[in-house]
Amino acid sequence: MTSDEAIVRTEKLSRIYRQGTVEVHALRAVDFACRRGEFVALAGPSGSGKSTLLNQLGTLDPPTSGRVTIAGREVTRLGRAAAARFRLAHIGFVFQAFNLLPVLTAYENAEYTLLLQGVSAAKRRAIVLPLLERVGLGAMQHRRPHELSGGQQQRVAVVRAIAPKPAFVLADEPTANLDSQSSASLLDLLEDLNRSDGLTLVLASHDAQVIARARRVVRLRDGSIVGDEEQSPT
Amino acid sequence: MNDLRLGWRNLWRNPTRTIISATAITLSFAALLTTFGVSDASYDQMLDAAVKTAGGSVLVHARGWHRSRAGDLLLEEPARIAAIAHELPFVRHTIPRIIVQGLLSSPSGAASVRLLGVDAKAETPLLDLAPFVAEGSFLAARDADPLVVGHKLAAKLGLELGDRAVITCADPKGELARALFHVSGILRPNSGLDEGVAFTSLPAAAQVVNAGRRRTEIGLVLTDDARRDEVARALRAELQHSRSPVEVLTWDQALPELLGAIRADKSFAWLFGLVVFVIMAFGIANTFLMSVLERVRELGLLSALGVTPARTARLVFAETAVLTLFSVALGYLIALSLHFYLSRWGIDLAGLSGMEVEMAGVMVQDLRLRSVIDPVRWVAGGAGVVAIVVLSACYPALRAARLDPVQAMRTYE
Repeated sequence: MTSDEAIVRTEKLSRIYRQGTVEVHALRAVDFACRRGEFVALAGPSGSGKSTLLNQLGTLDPPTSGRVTIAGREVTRLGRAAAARFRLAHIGFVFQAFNLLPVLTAYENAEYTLLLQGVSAAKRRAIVLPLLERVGLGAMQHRRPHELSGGQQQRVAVVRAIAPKPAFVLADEPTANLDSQSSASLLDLLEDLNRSDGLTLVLASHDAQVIARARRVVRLRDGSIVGDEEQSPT
Repeated sequence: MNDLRLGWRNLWRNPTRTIISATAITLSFAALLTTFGVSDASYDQMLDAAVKTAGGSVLVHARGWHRSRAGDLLLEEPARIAAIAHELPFVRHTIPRIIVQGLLSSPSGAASVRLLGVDAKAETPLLDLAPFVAEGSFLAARDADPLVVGHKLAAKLGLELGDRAVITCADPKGELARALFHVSGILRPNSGLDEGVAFTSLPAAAQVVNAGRRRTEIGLVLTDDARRDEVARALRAELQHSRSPVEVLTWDQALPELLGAIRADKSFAWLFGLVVFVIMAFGIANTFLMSVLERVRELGLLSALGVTPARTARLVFAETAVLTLFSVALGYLIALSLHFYLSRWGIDLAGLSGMEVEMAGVMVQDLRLRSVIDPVRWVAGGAGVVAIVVLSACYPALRAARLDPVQAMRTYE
């Protein structure tokens, strides 16, 4: 696969939720593609379908119709166990909150996906410690989540997401629970990872500060893509 | 960080709940093992008492006596039988007896009794009745025509020490025989021999029925009661060509109802264990279901990160396993401590309650609550607890495995 090829692609992707007798069209025939190394922001108001699209890209939720292809493999109809294994191998996640396991230390949380992948302890250490140093948490590796600030917790979550070198990282409102300084700091980190490491990033947010940092903004409204533009991050 | 370590840490997120659950499992399990230990000890006591009640582990009579109790069915060669029995492995003692069914009369009334003609010294290895005598003595050599009766029988017939009583019975020829006895001993209440049985010396009983050297029964005391079938088989083989035919019975063949009662008691103990297990299972299922429901979002996160449903279930099982192993180990420790105390000192039941000492229809003389370890039951008990815990964790684990990551992560958002 060349850098121009889409690492993740959706075709005519629809997701309909049923709430009693009412059908809610969360996504309507969405065609979306993201190339390796892109930093894409899915923007839109609440209920526009950005989180739903993120869940589809992350194989967290099966579509009602349409196709999702990741790293050249169609993942639309994967079973739950197969989808979980696929996520573990190819996708990194950073969520809005409750991102870390409270009983594990920062280091243990950061190495958790590598552990699930069966990477040896020595190799995990060799991968995770430099990353924790890089995000400024080397000295806090033994702290539990409740001993870390929200921004620090999100940094640990970022390390966990990137440690296995996934095809791309999905982040759902990663700054929603952070103050502006922590948000800026986290965005600096994500931007740096994208620029210097070529990390492919797709994040969903309605925060203008986040959207401004992305190099491409895909706007959604009522489950449809209504805009897709490249931009120079501020 | 393996699943077990993660499980251990998860358990301590809510220490109060974990301590309560662990305590419940530990105490239930310890109680179960102690029940096993005590009931096994009481079975041993009951079996020992059953042997005493029957008159020995193995009993030899003239053929047909056990069914008919006919007075004319006597062993023709008791000395030869005893000598042969003594040659067999595991035979410690032989006890000859004459058993007469008759009517005991006094000026105040009459009662049907089984008169046992015994050699008090020979009986001692099996059952020493001397400590049960409240008044007089148990067939002391100086007594002529002695008669030892139970407390209730004495009261019923208005008998006191030194009083005369007459036994009327049929002799081996079928003729009516009568003999006069003097009350030489009265057993104390609750000795288990209150009514229906009276004792006299072997020569006196032999004289009543004109038995001469013949005897009704020879009881065998073994070094190990568990060998009774083996000994009975061997003795049958040795005696099959006897001049007069004999029957050789083990005590459980002679008194099958006793064995049935003991087995019923054992079944009740198992039932009790089952009830404990079921209560424990619900407690554990509740604990882990609560634990899963509390962590829906976190389990959803694990699923999102790539933990498969099977592994999510395994994580719940790991928590269960850690709690169970810890609790079962502690339960074993407590049960062993109790066992040590009970096996060494016991608890004096008679002193506590002064009750009738009857268990499953058997009069038990050793009235201390004791404990013995049956390794099979103790190991099976532990395995049972683990199995119950695994079963009770199935539903919470299934709930955890079935969590939809998106729905789960929306919970409590």
